[in-house]
Amino acid sequence: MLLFDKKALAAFRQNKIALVGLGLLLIIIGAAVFADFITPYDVRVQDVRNRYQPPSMEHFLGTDEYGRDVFSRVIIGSRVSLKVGIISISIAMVFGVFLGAYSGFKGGWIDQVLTKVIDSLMTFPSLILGILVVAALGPGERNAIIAIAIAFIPRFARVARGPSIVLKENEFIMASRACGATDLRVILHHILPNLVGEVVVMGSLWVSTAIIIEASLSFLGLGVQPPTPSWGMMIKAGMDDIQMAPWLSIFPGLAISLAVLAFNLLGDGLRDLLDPKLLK
Amino acid sequence: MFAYAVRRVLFTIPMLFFVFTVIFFIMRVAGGDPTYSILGEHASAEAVVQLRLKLGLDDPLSVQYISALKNLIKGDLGNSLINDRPIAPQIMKVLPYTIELTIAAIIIGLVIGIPSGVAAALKRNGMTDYLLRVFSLAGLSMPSFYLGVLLLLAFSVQLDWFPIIGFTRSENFLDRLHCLFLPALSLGLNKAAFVSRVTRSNMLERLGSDYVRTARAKGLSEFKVIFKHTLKDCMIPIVTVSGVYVGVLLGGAILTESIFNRPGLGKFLVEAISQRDYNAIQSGLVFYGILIVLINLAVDIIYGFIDPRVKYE
Repeated sequence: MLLFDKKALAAFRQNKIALVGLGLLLIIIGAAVFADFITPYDVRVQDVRNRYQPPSMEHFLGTDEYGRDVFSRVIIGSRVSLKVGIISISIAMVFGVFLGAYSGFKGGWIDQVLTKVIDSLMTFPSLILGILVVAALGPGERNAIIAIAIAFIPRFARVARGPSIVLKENEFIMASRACGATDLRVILHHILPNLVGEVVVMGSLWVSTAIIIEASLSFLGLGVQPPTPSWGMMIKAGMDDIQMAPWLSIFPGLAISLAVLAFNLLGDGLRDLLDPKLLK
Repeated sequence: MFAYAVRRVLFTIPMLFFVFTVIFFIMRVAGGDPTYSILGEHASAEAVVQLRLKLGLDDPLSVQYISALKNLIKGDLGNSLINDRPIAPQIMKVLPYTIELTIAAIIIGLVIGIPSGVAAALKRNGMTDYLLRVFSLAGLSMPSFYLGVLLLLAFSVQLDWFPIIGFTRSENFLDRLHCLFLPALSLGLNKAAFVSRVTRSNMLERLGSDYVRTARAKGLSEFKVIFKHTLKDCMIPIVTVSGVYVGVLLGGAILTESIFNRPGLGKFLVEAISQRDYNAIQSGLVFYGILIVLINLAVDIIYGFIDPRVKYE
């Protein structure tokens, strides 16, 4: 597998952009994991006397309309974004890749029908597809994860289908089939392992899109519900006081942008690793 | 060309049919029972039965589906479950605002994205290239609604150059443009970053090719080589990604409309969702489907004008 190749690892170490992305990502994950130790204030405790405090030494990023510490809320908010982004993409990856690999491997009418359905779903932007599912299931964190996962299944399926069509013509696959391996076995043991590299790259790039969609759904009130802080929701809440307390919207948005940037940089770096033209 | 266009238009009909079917079944199967959201949780059993009868919810799913399909073909999207007014005219009233915003964002995206992509490609690895790449990466990482918030904060709240509410009923074209500018910019800058990347990589690929060298060898001016030969050839991938991106813009417009308080299809949809007006949600989504299918159609036909190799057989 190319991803764990020594040469590739060395190339990855030289890819400064990818390293910056990885570093940024580790900081964000660290903040999410150790949030309880980092946050100076309890995110739910209201302090009415200290409402709308601008950023200061006591409150790095100021306080909101209930006097809650914005810095603490931004840190805790990273949990929702990372959780929804990573879990939804992982679910989509499992279902989408299997579907795409199966479709490409089987060929024939199954492939034709699946491809038509996938193409049709692909014409819908993932945000609108996500809204469609949330509109049907109702708002909330779990439903946001399901909605984003469904929105990305066709995308993963398309990534997996192409290479599996090429792979199935290989001799080792024919040999395996000649030995009597079932379709499922061939797909699981021979096709999927060969797709891992490409799928992981797309996955890390799409986590960034998933984070944006999660933030968009929260912004529209369709994602995580209060009092759990999420970045999108914080931006929306801050909009009401944008003239008086702009920091309420600025900092959560900055956090989203940094998280998205981290996954974009990492994904770009990983893609360079897989590109044989760039890997000498 | 004409025959191709007709065939392509005919092909969109099963596509629309598919879109409607998917939306209908997701809403009906997963969406649950709208009666309680209309009547409230403490509605009497009698009232529930009456409403279910009126909405036809007790009919088998297939019967409901066929009657909804028949109504759709007649252009009747049913009535709002909340205020009982017909939905189609409501959507038609707000639709132009969404289309106006999306077109303005496309124009901004192309006008900023193509020249900056060309500039970056020509000064490859120079300072311009480096700066433009940093900007485009930042632009791609920033969700368009956050960009909208920042623009609003800078240009409306602080500088007071543009109104906080991004829409006006004024008939004056300049007034409308003034109100449209910030929403369109927040939506379009994201696209500009994307277009710039695509333009840069495609230009770089072609600038080293034989036909560009030939053009230069013939003694053509650098302007002609770049714009008439290289950039023109790059337009096909640019149009393709722009077409795909229009869908993303339509999605982004939902948030932009909410930030700038503009009426539009997105705002209509979000309100319908918050009121659990299932008929309105379904109709709003069907309209998105129709728009996206029509955009794909338009992109396919535009190919014919920019790529003489596309023969439309």
